[in-house]
Amino acid sequence: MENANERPVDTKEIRELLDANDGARIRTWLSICSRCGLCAESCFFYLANNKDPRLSPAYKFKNTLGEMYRRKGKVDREFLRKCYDILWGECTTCKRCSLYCPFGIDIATMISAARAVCYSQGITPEGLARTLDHYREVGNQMGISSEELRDTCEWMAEEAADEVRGLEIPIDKKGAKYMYTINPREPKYYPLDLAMAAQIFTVARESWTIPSTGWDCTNLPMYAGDRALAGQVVKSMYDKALELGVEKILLTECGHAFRSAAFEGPYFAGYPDGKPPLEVVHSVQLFYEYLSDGRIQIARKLEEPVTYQDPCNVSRNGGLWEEGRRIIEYLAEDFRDMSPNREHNHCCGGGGGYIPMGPEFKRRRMISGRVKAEQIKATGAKIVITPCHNCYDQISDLNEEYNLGIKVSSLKEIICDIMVIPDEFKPESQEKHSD
Amino acid sequence: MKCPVCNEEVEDQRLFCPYCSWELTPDIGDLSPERKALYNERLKIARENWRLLQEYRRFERESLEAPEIQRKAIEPEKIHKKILFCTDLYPSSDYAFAAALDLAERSGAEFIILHVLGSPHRYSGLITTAEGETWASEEVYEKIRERLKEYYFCRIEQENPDWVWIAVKAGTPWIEILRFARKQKVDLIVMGPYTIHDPRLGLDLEKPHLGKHAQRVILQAHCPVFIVTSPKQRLSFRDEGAKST
Repeated sequence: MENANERPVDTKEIRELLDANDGARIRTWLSICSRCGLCAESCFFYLANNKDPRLSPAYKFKNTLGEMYRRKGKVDREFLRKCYDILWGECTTCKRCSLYCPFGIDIATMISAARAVCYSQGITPEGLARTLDHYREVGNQMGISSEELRDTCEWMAEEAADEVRGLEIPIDKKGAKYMYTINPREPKYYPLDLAMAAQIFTVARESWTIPSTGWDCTNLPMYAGDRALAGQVVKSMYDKALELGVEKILLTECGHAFRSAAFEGPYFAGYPDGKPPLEVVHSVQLFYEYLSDGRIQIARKLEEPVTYQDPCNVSRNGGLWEEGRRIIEYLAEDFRDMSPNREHNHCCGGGGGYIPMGPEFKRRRMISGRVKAEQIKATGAKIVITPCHNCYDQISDLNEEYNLGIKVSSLKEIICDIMVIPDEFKPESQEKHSD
Repeated sequence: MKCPVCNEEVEDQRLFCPYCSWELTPDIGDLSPERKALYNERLKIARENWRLLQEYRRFERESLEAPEIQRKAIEPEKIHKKILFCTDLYPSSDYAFAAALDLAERSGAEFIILHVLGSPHRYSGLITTAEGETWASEEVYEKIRERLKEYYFCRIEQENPDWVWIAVKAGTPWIEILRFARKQKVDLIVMGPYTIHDPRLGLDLEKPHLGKHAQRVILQAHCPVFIVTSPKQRLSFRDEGAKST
């Protein structure tokens, strides 16, 4: 949290923000909640913390946004600090509670609105705040320059060409079918993700390109509460896609990127109908298409028991739970689904900005992650596949914390490992060998 | 004060001995009996390691002087212009350092000491330090740079050598090593085979094994990679060669 910022609370600014959100939806939600408690049992924070009633979603929104409205914005810093703890430390905005609310109250939207109020007063987790300047100045959360990205792409193209002959990573190719947008943590920390994507696209004979700007599909301002910046991030992606004249925007295996680019970001970017200017496709959709159309063939299926972690923003909020499962059917012999699963699956505990929020929240992240750890353990799976980087890191942490004895993997990793490389793409050395 | 390992006179404010790199702990009296026992065990190992290192250096000097080993062909030429030594900050890198330094000195190469602060995550980039999990900030980098300087510069004969520099990165070690080597266009990478986290095992690198990071660096580096194990392994290799001829 921004400790240095001790300026007095600007109640006028808060009031303005509250008024801007004071539409029929929020007013109805705040008044209609009958405290029935059905949302409590749906929340993994509540379940993992001895069913503490203060962790029930209804309590959380009532004591943050509800209270802000009740006091007509006249709140002090101490109150906002308490809100900070609830809004970021006790909710990942996974939206599972909305599914169980008999009135369909969208609690996560209210939590996000309250986050925006806190942010307006300089209150937001340090881990999220430190990425915001990078977004503003360079256009991506890690502050990676276009040159650095180009260099990393060149490097990865060299690496991947050892596996798939003729592989290229095209940059700013006009008129390509897909503009492939990525999570900056890939070029920064795990560039192999780029190499694997390039291998899959090459083998599938895809027309694709990476843009030199607007390539960051993540949107941490959305979780930090900076809605203006969140809109700017999405808009720069759309603008670049329109400039390049691509058909569709493709997203890497990232959960919240789908929420941002496909269905929540358009509102921030000023599209009143909530629809992006061109189709946004998640990797899960495209990989499913490749496998079902036979553009990617699998050489051998995984024999170890596998389970699938539904990223909240891909499955529950993005509607791709069946596609995820169909992909696993192509990849693994022994699929063991979690319980509950699909749109009812629990959040891993790393979403909503929780992983980037960093060390301050680590302990709580491990405690609340117990629900996911138990779900995984119950499947007996040895491999957990998840198409989301935050899920990946969180489940890796849970693996250590709860001794799960599993291997976490992305879809790309598995597909690259077991897909058939057609002869024309086999590296020369291998080709000679097989001759 | 005298260094308990190499017995050299060391200024009181030093954190590491400038001769043998022993981490100086001034308040041993405050240690609990358990920690004191561990300290004594480490001290015993460090002394033994120091003795072995001296022996290794003696062996190196003698080998150089021995007429049958011909190094003339190498000496005047700058074969390696940029040598990258990768350290895990454990004594298990010490032999690799000695070998890398030796090569750099002989070939007149630029010498880079690189340490990668490993992240427990694939994507988040958080690192683990003595104080716990944190972000890789310039402050953390500077602290490690100082530590590396104290630890390694005392082993270089020349004072303030301008051909040696230190780099610190954060992330997955083998990826950052490869990225750095490629960016800096280094001619050679030198590193240890694996990390021995337990200080009680010191420099016991005799197990024929390659760690994950060494394996990936060997497989994917654009330049030659030297993996330096224990000199005992090297000696046995020489012996085998002698027998066969």
